[in-house]
Amino acid sequence: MQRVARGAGWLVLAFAVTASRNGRAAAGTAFAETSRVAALADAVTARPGDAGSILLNPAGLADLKEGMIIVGGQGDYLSQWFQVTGSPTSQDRSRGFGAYSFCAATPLPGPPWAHAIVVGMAIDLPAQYLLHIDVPVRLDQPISPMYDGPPDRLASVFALAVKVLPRVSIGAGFAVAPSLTLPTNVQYIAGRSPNVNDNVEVRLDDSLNLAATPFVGLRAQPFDWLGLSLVYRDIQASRATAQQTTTAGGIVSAETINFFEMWDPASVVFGANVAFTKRLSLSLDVAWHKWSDFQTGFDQGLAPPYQFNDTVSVASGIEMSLARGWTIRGGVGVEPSPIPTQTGETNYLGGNTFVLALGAGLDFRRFAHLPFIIDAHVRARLDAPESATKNPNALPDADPTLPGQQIDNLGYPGIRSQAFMLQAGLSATFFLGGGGR
Amino acid sequence: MTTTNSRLSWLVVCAACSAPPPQAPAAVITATPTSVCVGDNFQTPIELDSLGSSPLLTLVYTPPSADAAVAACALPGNDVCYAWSFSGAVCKGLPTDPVPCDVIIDPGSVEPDGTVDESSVLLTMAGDNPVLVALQVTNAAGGVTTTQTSITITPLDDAGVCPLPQGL
Repeated sequence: MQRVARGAGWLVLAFAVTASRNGRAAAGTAFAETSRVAALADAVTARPGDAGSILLNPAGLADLKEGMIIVGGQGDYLSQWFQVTGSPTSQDRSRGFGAYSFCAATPLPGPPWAHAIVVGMAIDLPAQYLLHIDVPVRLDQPISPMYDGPPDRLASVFALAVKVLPRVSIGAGFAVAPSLTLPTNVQYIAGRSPNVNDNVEVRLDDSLNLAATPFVGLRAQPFDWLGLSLVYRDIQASRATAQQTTTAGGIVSAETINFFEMWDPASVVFGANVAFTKRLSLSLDVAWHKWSDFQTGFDQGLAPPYQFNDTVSVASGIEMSLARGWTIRGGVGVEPSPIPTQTGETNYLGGNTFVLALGAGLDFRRFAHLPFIIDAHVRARLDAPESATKNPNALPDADPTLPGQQIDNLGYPGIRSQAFMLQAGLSATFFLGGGGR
Repeated sequence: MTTTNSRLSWLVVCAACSAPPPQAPAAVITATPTSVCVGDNFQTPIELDSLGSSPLLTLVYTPPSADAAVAACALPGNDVCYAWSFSGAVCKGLPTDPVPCDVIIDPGSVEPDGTVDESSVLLTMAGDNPVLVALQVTNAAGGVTTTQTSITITPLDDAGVCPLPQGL
């Protein structure tokens, strides 16, 4: 029976891997975590893992004793506004979005030593887009690095974990991020056609390349009541590059076009989980994010003092098991904004963020001897107001041919902005080996 | 990786099999003047015209017909239509206007329904912040092109005088 269940797990995993290749998935899980993870404010790296926490700590997969599938869905509403100082109107950037998630993991079939190796994968599918990149046409266009791009892409991760010692597991995986190259040649061949418009020949050679972004994790359980973790995730970003050459007779114009979208910065996470009793546990994750790698949409670095700051965020989650299979969860988090005061040319939006999450789960293994769990959550992200007064000396002269300095910055003479996001989600966990606990 | 690239190429070929999009028009904004001094307080009239636009984007300029330059977009027979939009608090002489205004559009440039779709537009600015102007041009084939420009703000010089030449 167990062998059949593991075989089914492999089949599901193989299907999922194939599906993700067809989808040309990127990687990362902005706001598309499973309900258990979201309700704990993502503070799960030191907790026993499941298929829904692969990216947060792949080592947690080694805790699985049987194949597991998690399917979930989330709905989000973002309320965000942007206002130029002195203007009576504000720009409403509010929108709704959502995502579906699918995660699967299973121990390897075969001899007992192979059972200590667990493989898993996860896919997040946005409800509205497979991939949506809003390339700015101006450097000063108001952009939210947190809310504008990351929720709008298909993402997938693949990982493997092994229990190297009875109380120590390690895991590694990779996420895939797409990059686009589109060299373009435009030639004007005079006299080729009676119609002058037909004398233009355009040659395109586009390709979408998938780059693997690694992440590794360690989870140790030195005591039954204490779990510790250490995780490293590399930067996830996509680029679009193009060498555009236009030739018309002796005139040759060569231009290089570069676009950049950062999905997630490189991060190092240290976590701890304390189980006060068998029913009550508290976890804490402290994460360092290398936001200083952030580039503009045109793939250019930001010069000090406008370079993004590296940040340290803190999240904590509490989980309590109740009678008859019920579990309740709660989480809080603080995410300092990496965005420096926007007194210069750019208008990046995002203040310090406070995260509050609540959730509950019903384990049908205890409730009705059925091998699945239903979890639900609500989560709020409250961004502090952001404001800045522009420094004219830091702004470029929009028209050097006129006397004085001409300012065309969309945020002049100053900006104010704030965001609030509310999310609700549901996920179902199915145990392929019968759900023995 | 090779498989991925070849599948993408296949998709690109399929996309090319569908009907081509309508030929796009050309959209050009000419602003006079292009800048006002900080605190202009609606004193400087600014004219925006779209006469550099063209019903078709071609290597040889083809100006719109004389009728198109004066007729409203909704009228039949036009070979090109214009739709203007502006950033900030835009006042058009309508009861729903915001208070205060960043931009005041001359009532002669505003249609009764509040749209601004003439080939040229007159406006004034408060001069507190730059104004982003967008022009969408639609041709009879359904091709659409949008362009934008900024009416910039010029800070006063150290003596508190507007450095822009008079009559610019």
